Amino acid sequence: MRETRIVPEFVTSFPAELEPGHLYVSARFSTAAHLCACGCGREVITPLSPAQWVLTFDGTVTIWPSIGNWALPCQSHYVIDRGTIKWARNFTCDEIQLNRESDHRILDAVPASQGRWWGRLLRRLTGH
Amino acid sequence: MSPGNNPGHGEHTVTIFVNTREFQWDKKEISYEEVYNLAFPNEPLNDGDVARIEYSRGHNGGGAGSLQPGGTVKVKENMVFDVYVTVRS
Ligand SMILES: [Zn+2]
Repeated sequence: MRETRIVPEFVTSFPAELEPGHLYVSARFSTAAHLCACGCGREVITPLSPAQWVLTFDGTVTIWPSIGNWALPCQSHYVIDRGTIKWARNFTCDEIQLNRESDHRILDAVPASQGRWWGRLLRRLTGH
Repeated sequence: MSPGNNPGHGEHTVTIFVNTREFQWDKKEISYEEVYNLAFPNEPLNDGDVARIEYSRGHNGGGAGSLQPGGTVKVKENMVFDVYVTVRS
């Protein structure tokens, strides 16, 4: 069943089995997990960083930008906004491909952390 | 844990974290496909799938980087992996 609400659960490690309607947030590992809001049961991982997803907690949770599960059979697409699932329009196959390419370009251009950027530069210089 | 008890392998087991979950790994290196399978054991990686794998607190390249399909990386105690298929839109 489609979820309409999602509540935060602050954890160190994600539990083996996630509960629907919960967003598990790990500050230690800077990442979050939830079961796809469409009800398909797939686990959705959203690493948290300025170049990935940004989590806001004000008693409710907001995750920005939207979550595009194109790689899942359901291809669901939604925003988590103040504890509410806001369903976004389904993308066409062409739009999915374009979105994937631009997201990966952004990720490659704006690394998640200084370490990642430095790591890439070092590897480029040393050829490892 | 007694690393010395495994002379056949000559390497001790290290703890790694994949999507926050702890695993013991007894090989020197781990491949893209192996990390993916630890993260999503029930969801086989199909052709054309686009899982992103990023690591930090490792050995190579300042300890952080990304793994590509077919690639491997040397593991290190408490190394961290993010594995995800979701795209920001
Ligand atoms: Zn789904």
